[in-house]
Amino acid sequence: MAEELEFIDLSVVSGQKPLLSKARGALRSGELVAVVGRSGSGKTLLTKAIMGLLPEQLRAEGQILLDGQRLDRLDDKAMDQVRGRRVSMLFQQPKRVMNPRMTIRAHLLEALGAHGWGKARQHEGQVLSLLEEVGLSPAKPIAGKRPDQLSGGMAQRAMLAIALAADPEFILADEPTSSLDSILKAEVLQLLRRKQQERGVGVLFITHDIASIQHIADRVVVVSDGQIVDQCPTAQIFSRDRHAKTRELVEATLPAVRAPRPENSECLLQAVGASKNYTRRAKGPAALEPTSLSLHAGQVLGVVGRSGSGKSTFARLLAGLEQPTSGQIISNHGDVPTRVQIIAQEPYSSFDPRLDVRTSMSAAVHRMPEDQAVERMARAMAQVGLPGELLDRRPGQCSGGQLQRLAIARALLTDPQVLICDESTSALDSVAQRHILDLLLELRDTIGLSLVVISHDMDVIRYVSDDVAVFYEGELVEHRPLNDFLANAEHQHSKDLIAALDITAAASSAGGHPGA
Amino acid sequence: MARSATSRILLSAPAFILVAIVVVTIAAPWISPYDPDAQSLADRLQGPSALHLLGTDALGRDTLSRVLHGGQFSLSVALITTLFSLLVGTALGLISALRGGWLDEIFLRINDLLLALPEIVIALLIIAVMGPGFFTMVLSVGVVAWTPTARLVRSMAAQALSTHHVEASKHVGASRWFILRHHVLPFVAGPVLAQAALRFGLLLVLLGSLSYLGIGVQPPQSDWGSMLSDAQPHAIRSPWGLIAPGAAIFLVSFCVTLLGNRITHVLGGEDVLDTETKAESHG
Repeated sequence: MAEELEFIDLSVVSGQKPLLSKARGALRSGELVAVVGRSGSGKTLLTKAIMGLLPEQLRAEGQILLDGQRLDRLDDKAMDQVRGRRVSMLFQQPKRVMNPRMTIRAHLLEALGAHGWGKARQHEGQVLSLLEEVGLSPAKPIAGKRPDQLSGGMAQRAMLAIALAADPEFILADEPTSSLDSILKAEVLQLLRRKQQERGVGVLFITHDIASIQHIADRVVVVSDGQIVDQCPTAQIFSRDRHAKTRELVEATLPAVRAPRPENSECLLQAVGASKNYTRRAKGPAALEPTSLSLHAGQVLGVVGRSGSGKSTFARLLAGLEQPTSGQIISNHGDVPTRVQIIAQEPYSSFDPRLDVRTSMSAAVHRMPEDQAVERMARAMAQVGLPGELLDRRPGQCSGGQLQRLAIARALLTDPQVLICDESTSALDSVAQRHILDLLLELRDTIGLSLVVISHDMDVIRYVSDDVAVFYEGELVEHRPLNDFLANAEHQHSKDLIAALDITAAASSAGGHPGA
Repeated sequence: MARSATSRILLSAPAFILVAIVVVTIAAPWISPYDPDAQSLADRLQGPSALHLLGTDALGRDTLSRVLHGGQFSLSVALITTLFSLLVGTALGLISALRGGWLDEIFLRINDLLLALPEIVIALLIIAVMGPGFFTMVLSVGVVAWTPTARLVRSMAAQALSTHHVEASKHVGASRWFILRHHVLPFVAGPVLAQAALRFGLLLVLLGSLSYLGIGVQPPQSDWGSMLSDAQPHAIRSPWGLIAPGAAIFLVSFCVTLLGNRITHVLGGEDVLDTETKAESHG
């Protein structure tokens, strides 16, 4: 059993530009170390460099030692004896790294090193026990499935089983939970911590979200701009005198303290028994069952649910992008139609990659006289806190957070009363996410914008919402003011969501981690 | 900084050769050694010599002078037809993609029908009805030549219109014209230009075939196609009458095809660069 995976002065260079410089650290067996940093900080490169899996145009320098053996000197063939056997990996998108034509059983057999006829039957017991170990039961039918037949949470569990198959000494986990919803995230984190402790594996856990690992990690390493800027035991990460970058990451996870909005304002948008069925047949499950809900001026409505729960369909109906199959959306007060705008999830796809941002933004003001359009654009940029010169860039030259701000600025050009944010922050790292949410709240306060914030992430919902609406399998199952919701939610799914907020407590009690 | 896409397309061998050919044919009245129609039966069917660089034809006319003058006609008809099909095809393709619905369906069926019939058969039919001539020639080929362009434009435009960023533009109030100008046309332009270059080569050959069959350009006017058919009976005795116009057609269509490929390649290459910068900023 190996004791230590160490890297000394590890740099990753692209041409002359260092993307990761002189990183130094060690992972010991039986500990879980979180590497935390924002998107683009170089944290993923660290794992790729250790595994010798850097893209061709990048070059690693420095030493990587597995129990004193220089991994960086091994050739590809020798590394194959390390990769997946002594050190294995977990990825953010398990379905993308698995072979879509291979069953879970085949993946596990491959990881177990069981090739050839007859080996399958011989190792069947091992396959099934691995699956049960990661909570996939009944194991037998699941083993016969292909990756695309599994849900996101199941696929992540299956990948953990594959990673554990060869009984590795170390696991490098690259954001394995960031694409999961709050409940699944909590489950997978607990599972990973439990397995790590049972088997005494050393885990390097890459994430941008300090909150998710605060009670499962033993140590935290903070990476910023390609450098390790801070490291300490997890318990000390919240103390005030840490590095500025650490503070930034920590503050992005703290809950907000703000007064709830009184609900006496006028009603801007109202769904009355609105439903949506995409299939032509009247039978079959509807994307959205009849839903009634109203949104008032200055209100922040948080809409939460898993993917496929109908929350995005509801958003598109509210925004008028689609017409309800039955019922209606009343989008006016008096005779004036309510101006509704929607901000999409993926920042890079909401701007034309070939156009500079100014041209894309001018879609909203091109009917106005030139000078007026220029002035409005300048004002919108100021409102979202971006410098004007960003307008001359192309989307590919902006960060995800900047683009999401630009999308908000473009929406502001139309002078909206309601802004619907459909998972608008889920593609961003936790710091950028928090900045966007703060911006939205600020716009609510300064120009009286009403917000519908749709998210699978309960932390986001808790941070911004006055009221919470929970969607589950196409149905609105709960709708209450935030505090009432947190205290008195009745539906089982709501309770699960609230419990997931305290992943932390649950994971630590399950893991019995002393520092927590 | 890499050279711009336009310069990468224009500063290439096929582009230079094409420009040279065009310049020479335009300058034909001044640079050709003889009057292309001057007959001298004493000098008929000669091979290349110092006096007649590419020899003479059955009526003793200088082949080089005839190739240069014939090029004016061949190239201009092909160019006009290409531009015509480009305009009509782009307009119809855009309307079809923007309007959608039944109009789109009808458009597609007509398009299928015209694509299924060989172009030369339709051209023959129209010429049979209207009689040969410059105008009929352009019309007969132009009637069907727009269909591949229209198809391409329609599918590219439909693809552009279904993107998230177009939905986003629409939702903040962009007019149809705005979307067309900024999101659709720039997206469609590259592939359509590349295709137009390839189409030009094909149309040049098609128009040449019509003249070769004797239903294109009429004497005394001549183009490369009609020169081929004039020279054919004497192919054995004097192959130069065939080789010269044949080589001209080949060279032009070969160069435009290379140019078309180059346009595709350069534009495709640019897209690749774009995705790379994007991936980098993602981290």
